[in-house]
Parts: sequence; structure tokens; C-alpha cells
Amino acid sequence: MIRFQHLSKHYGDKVALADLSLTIPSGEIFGFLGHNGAGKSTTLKSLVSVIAPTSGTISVDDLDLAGNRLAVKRKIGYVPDSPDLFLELTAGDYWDLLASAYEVDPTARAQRQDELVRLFNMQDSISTPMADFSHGMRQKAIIIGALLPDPDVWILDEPMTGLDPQAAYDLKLLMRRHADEGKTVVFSTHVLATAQELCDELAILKSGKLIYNGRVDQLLATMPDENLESIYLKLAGRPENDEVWRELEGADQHE
Amino acid sequence: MNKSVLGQLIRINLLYANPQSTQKLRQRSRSNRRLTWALVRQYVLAGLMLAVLYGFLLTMVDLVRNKGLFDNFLGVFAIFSLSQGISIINNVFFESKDQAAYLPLPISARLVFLAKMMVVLIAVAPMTLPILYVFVATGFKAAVNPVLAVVVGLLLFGLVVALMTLLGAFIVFGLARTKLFQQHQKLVTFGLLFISFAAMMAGILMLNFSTASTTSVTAGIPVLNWFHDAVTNPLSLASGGLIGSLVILVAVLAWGTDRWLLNQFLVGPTRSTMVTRKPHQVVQRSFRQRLVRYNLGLLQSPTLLLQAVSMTLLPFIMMGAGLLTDSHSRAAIAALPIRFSGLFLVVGVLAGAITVNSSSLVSVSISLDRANLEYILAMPISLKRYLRIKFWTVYGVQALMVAVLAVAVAVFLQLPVWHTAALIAGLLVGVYLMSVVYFARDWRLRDLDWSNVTTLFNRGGGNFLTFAVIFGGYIIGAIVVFMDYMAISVMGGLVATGLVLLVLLAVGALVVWWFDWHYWSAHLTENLH
Repeated sequence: MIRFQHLSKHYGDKVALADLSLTIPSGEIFGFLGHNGAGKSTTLKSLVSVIAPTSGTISVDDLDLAGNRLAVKRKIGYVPDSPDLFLELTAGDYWDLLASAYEVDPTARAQRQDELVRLFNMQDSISTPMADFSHGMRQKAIIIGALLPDPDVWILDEPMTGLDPQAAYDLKLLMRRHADEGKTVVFSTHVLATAQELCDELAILKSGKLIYNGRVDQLLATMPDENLESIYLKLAGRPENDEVWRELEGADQHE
Repeated sequence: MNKSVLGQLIRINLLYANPQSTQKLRQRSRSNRRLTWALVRQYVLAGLMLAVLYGFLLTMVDLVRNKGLFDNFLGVFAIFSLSQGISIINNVFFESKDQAAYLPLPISARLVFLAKMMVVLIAVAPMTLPILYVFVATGFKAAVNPVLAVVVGLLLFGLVVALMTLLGAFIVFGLARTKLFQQHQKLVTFGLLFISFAAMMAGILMLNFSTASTTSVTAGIPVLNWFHDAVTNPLSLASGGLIGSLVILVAVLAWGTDRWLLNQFLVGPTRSTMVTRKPHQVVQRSFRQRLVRYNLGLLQSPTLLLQAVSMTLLPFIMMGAGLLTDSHSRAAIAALPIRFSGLFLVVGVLAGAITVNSSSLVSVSISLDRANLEYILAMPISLKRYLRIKFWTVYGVQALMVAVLAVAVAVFLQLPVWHTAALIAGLLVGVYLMSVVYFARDWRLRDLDWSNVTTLFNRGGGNFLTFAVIFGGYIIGAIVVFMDYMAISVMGGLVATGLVLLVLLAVGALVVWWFDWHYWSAHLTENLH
């Protein structure tokens, strides 16, 4: 279980995250939705220790992050928003680095790596430098790396970007399987269809503020004729009759 | 041929010729057109400065009589143009990695190749202007008709530059075809650039040596004597023969360039993906060992290594040039008795300190992580421990480089073992103390979004700081060394060296306390933002 309490992040006068409080239960897939700059990555990066929150606390399985940083980090597997990492290493070297960082048992690691490599069709790419991979292949290598320690909490920032349809499908199955094993999957996405399909629970952020937190089925039940995209746009999007739309419609009429 | 496209291509490729100059001029927020002219102006100015400097030195010499000096000069500047050519060809054709970007455009590959070769000529020709000066001035001195002297001088100059540039192209492209290059592209490129740099440095030292002894008349080198004969007697058969041979040689190389190099260019640069790799095997290593290997891997950029090595060598060369050419000083230093070993320790500390600057490996090592640093924060390792591993790894490389250099200097100076040991110990301490300072500076100025590694060298007034440290180091060093020499002479080696060690210990403790206890504990959190 992950708990954010009154989490805020300020960059000077700019508020990236304002007083976020929410709880993510174990055994679920939890999605963060929001426009660019809404605070999704700030939240996830605070959880993985990349960003220091201005105020507030984060705890994972009742362990306070600030006081138990290494212990919490050991529980987390992280897939960042950009896979352009460790380009100097081969995929195999990168996984070796992660396996030793997380002190993964060699036998379990070999078994897990073999399964994931076959799943993502990377058998012939283990000795290839990450620099030579396409965006999608790098993403696959990072996903495999994050899963090697079989983390209690799996965090993915925009994970579907650049993946081919098969890999995207496989990733969704992996996320579901991970949650079904009682572990927690937290991800951010702009793809609302994916969120609707995958998430048990979600949070919608707008300009650093939490505007919705709850179960997806409950949210959909409030507007039975609508899908998540239209509900999301009603909650977080631009009003239908706002100035920009009026201007665009005006331009259409002139044409 | 579309001249405006060629012009645009030349303009673009000029940006790649010397990335560091481009970066510096860009920081002055020049528009693209002004940036192009600023780059060209920089090459021309550098060439003119060289021509004026060596021209002034050579006015004191009778180059007609002194064939040896003429040949030395020609040989050294021919090597200059070759090494400059190799470096520029590597930057423009290989480091630019822009070949694929032209493929979808309606531009022929031949035009791109031509533009790149013209950029190489633009960058190489000014650096060899002193050759033109020597040809023309020697012709004038030999009472050749001035117009003829200028025409022959220009012709020979053009042919020498073309010859060296084409040779450079064959060397770089030839190397790019080898298996060794394909497997170890970065290290081989560094080796090539380093050899060019070393040849250039050796050339400068040779020039200093030969202009220092302008009174002795030497016979010269047979092949280069032909140039002397051609310049002093341009209407002779030998002169015609040389010019004709050079024209044929350049024409053959130009044909070869069109036949082989252009083809290689059209096929595309060799990609490392085409290399057969050994299957990955999991080797048992600790996390620390893996981090050390990863950090060593970060250093394997030819541009970074060349900059780091050259800036480490520079203070030695500036300081050692006098010693290398003066056998009396060398003998006096080697003959210093054992009680002066403390002096070598002090020299080592000072020399070590000035070899670390804003271009050193340790000064950019944190920024080299780029986005990896964020990811490392998410790993179960404390940032403090990670930075500690990084520091010692990179310091080790920096210290090894300086220690090897010190051994070479000691062998050359025929220093006794105890002096050599004291010198190396001092160097290691000096490098350590300044590395601590520059490592913290890199953290303070850290840039994790750079696209060209040369950006990192220029942060925070990098070059100014480097030269201020070097010259400040010389002045302070001279005072300290003199004081230590006097102290040893008056108090004896043991007492003076004991005092030096105490001062060193105090300074070292202060630096370590300030940075390790004060700076890092105040500035290092377990997050980046």
C-alpha cells in the first residue's frame, strides 16, 4: 500500500503539486491521468526518490520514504518516461547492473529474464548496446530491467509510448498479472482507452491538484452512456464552448 | 551543381568542424549567418597569427642558406596540416553523424561529400599559412622575381595543403574500414586524434628547438630540400619536376577519393550494429564493480578523452618545454641530492593541482550521467555512495594519466628513484585535492541535458578558469618551490620536508573538511530536484 499525505512540490512560485493526499491499495492497478504538466510525473518521481517534495510524506507498506529510503527503493521497480538510459551499456549489461543493485537471486533472475526476453522477443538483442536500439526496444529493455527484482511496487511513467501493438498488449497482461499476484502497479498515461481497460482505480490531476480519486467502474457508472475519455474531458479538459473553440468555429464559418 | 545548396551544406558542416568553437560562439547568441562568418574568421585569424609569429621569428634567419631550418619548418607545418586534417575529417564525416539526415533530401551524396571536403580545406589551409610565408619569403631572399616567387609559393602551398588533406582523408576513411575500428570505434578514434595531437605538440616543441638554434646551418631532409630548390630556383628543371610530381600525386589521390572514399561515403558509415558480437554472459561482479565499469564506460568518448588528455598535458608541456631544450637544467635537476626529495613532492603537488581543470574527467563526470542519474536515484543505492564510487573511479583514471606522464618525465630527466617517488606522491595529492574541488563544481553546475560533451567544458567560465589556475599555479608554484629550496638549503632536507608535509596535511585536511563535511552535507540530498 502506498500513501501520499499532503504532498506538495513547488518550483519557486510555480506549484507542480498541491497538497496531494491519496492511498493506493496493494493488488491493484492504479492510474494517474492528467494533461501535460498536471503533476503526474512529479508524483511518480517523488515516489521513486528522484524529486524531493516541498512538503508532505510518502509511505510504502507503512515504511516512511524519507526515513527508509533504501528499503523503500528495494520494493520498487521503475520504468521512467524516457527510455534513453544507459546507452553505453548492452541490454545484458544493463540487466546485470540492476540485478546486482537489487541483489536478485541469480537462479530466479535467470528464469525471469529468460521468460521476459522471450516474451518481448529480445533474444537476439541481449548483446546489443542500448544506443543501437529503437525507442520501443529501449522501452522493452527498461521494462524487463524493472521486473527482474519482481518488485512489490511497479511504477511506470507513460509506459506504452513507442511500443509495438504486440508489446503493448503483452505489457498490459504483465501489469494485470503483477497486480493479481497481490503487488501494486502504478502508472501514468495519456491513453484513456488503456486507462479504462487496465485501471482498477485512478486519480485525475489538473494543474497539480487532485480533482478525482476513485474506482474506474464507479466513475463510469456515474455517466453510463459515456466512456472514460469523455468523462475525463468533462472533468479536466477545456470547456466545450470556451474561447478557443468559439474562435475555431468562427473561422470554420468564415471559410 | 547547385551553388546555393553547396553554400548551405558548407555552412552546416562548418559547425561540425570544431564543435567547441561552435559551442562557444553560439553562446554569444549569434545568428546562423554570423556564426558561419565568425567560424571562418576564427580559422583565418588563427592562421594569420601563426604566420605573423613564425614569420617574425624567421626574419632573423637566412632560409636560403639554412636548408635544414627551412625543411624543419615545412615538415612540421605539413604534419600540422595532416593532424588538423585528420581531426576535422573525423568531426565532419564521422562525429557529425548527419549522413542519414541528407538521404531523404533531394541532394546528391556527391554534393554533400564535396561540401564536407571543402570545409576540411577551409579549416586546414589557414593553419598552414606559415608555409606560404616561408615559400614566398625564401623566394624573395633568393632574389627571385617577386611575382614568380608569389606564384610558385602559392602553387606549392596549395599543393601541399591539398596533398595533406587528401592523405588525411585516406587515413581516416581507411581506418574506418578496419575491423578494429568497427569493434572499438570510440577508442580507435581517440587513438587517432591523440596521435594527431601528439604529432602537433611534438612539432611545436621541435619548432621551438629549431628556432632557438637559428645560428647553426644544417643540410636538411632530402625530399623537403626539393621544395627549397623549387622556391629558390623556380625556373629550374628540378622545380618543374617537383610541381609536376605534386600535381600528379594530388590528381591520383583526388581520383582515388572519388573512386573509393566517395563510394564508402555513399554506402554509409559503418554501424556498430553490423559487428558480430559475443553472446552476453552473466559474469559475477558486485554492484560496486558494475558501477565502476559503468563509470569507466562513460569516459569513452573520443572528444572527451582528447580534451582531458590534452588539457592534462598542456601545463606539463608549457612548463617542460624549457627543460626539454636545455640540457644544463636537466643535468642540474637530476643531480639534486636526496635531501631535495621534498622539493619534488612540492613540485608534484603543484603540478598535479594545475593538471586538473574544467576540462578534466573528474570535472564533468557527474554530468556525463545525463538522465541515468535520475534512474540511479530510483535504485537501492544512496546517492552519496554512488557519487563516492564515481569520484574514486574517475580520480583513479585522472591520477593514472598523470602518474604515467610523471614516469615519462622522470625517465627523460633521468631522475633518481626517490625523487621520482616523491614527485608521483605529490602529483597524486595535488590531483586529489583539485579533483575534490572540481567534482563539487560539477555537482553545482551539473547539466544532465547536454547534447555535445564540449558544452560541459565551457560551463562557469571554464576556459578562463583553466588558464587562470594554470598561470596562477605557475606564479605561486615558483614562489613556493623557491622558498622550499631555500628552506632545504638552510634547515636541511628532513626539517624542511617535515614542515612541508605538515603544511600539506593542514591544507589537505582543510579542503577535505570543507568539501566532504561542509559542502556535500549541505548540498547533497537524496533527490535531484
